[in-house]
Amino acid sequence: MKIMRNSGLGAVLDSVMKDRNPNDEPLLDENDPVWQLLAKSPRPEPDAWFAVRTLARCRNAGLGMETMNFRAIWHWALGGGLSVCLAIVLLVPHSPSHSGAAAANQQQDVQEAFAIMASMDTSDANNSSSSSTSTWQDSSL
Amino acid sequence: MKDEIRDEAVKRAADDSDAHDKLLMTRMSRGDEEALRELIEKHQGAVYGTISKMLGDPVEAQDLAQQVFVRVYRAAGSYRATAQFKTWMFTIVRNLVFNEHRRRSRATLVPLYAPENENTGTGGSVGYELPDTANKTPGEDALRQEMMKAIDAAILALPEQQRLAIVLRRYDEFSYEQIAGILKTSVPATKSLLFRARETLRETLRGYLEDK
Repeated sequence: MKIMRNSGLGAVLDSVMKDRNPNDEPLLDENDPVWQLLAKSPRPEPDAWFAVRTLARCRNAGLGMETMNFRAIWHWALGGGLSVCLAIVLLVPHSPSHSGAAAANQQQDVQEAFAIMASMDTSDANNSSSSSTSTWQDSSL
Repeated sequence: MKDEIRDEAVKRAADDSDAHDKLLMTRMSRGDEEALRELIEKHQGAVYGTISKMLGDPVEAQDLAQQVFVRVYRAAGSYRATAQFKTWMFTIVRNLVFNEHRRRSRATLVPLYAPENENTGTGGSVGYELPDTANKTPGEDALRQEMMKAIDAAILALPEQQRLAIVLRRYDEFSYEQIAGILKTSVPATKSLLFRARETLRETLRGYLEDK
């Protein structure tokens, strides 16, 4: 296999290549002796079972990914569920107790109001029985 | 001029092939395993061959080539056809190969066996020794094998960007635009890389060029 290095075209190409600037238009690939020499060491090809093995590896990787996704979903679902439970625990029991406390407070307020009213009634009764003349009564008159 | 015409023809053929690849990716995203098989069978030669030429290690090349297809498969669901499929896939090849190259340059790898004509103690590079072309073996096949080893060694001795550019251009017939896209450089920078790679190879393989 002779490379046309010493042939007329090869010699011309060599002299041209020596003076070339990298940003010049590229020389024709096919006419470059280096290009032809590189072709003598062809690109290696994979063996006959490469596709089968790769397919199996992709399948395994794919399954792994699906499992991971399932786990991720499961973790999210678990986290979400726990959050909802926590919210229920924190909020739901508080609602009745809160309303119960409010009712108790309201009842206490009413009782206090009645007590005040009762005390006022008794004080009025005492006042009216003890002295019939008062500033208020005088002014109303 | 002829290069541009060839690039145009390659581009037109690539457009049809690209549309088919994108269709296969769409089918893969729907879980079609047959599409994956078709994609692997279509591109295995280019992917494995390029990685093998880049690393000079067929076993490692096989592993990395499989990793490329696994990544393609995993990305099928989120793949957006903004660029050519082949350019996108070879960007994955580039990343994996350059990572592997960096890993090798950090670790000193000691092979379990040393094949003939291999120099194992040269640190980062794989380190094939160029054969002495003056002492030829008589068999033509042996000569051819020797020359192939020298060519592979010369390619392996190139810096990684130049190496990938020359492999993609020579063996996979990528256009300058495609190579620029994969290497994330401009077209003039790609031409410059190829020029420098050719000049280095011309110098390294001078013995074979002059001898033949």
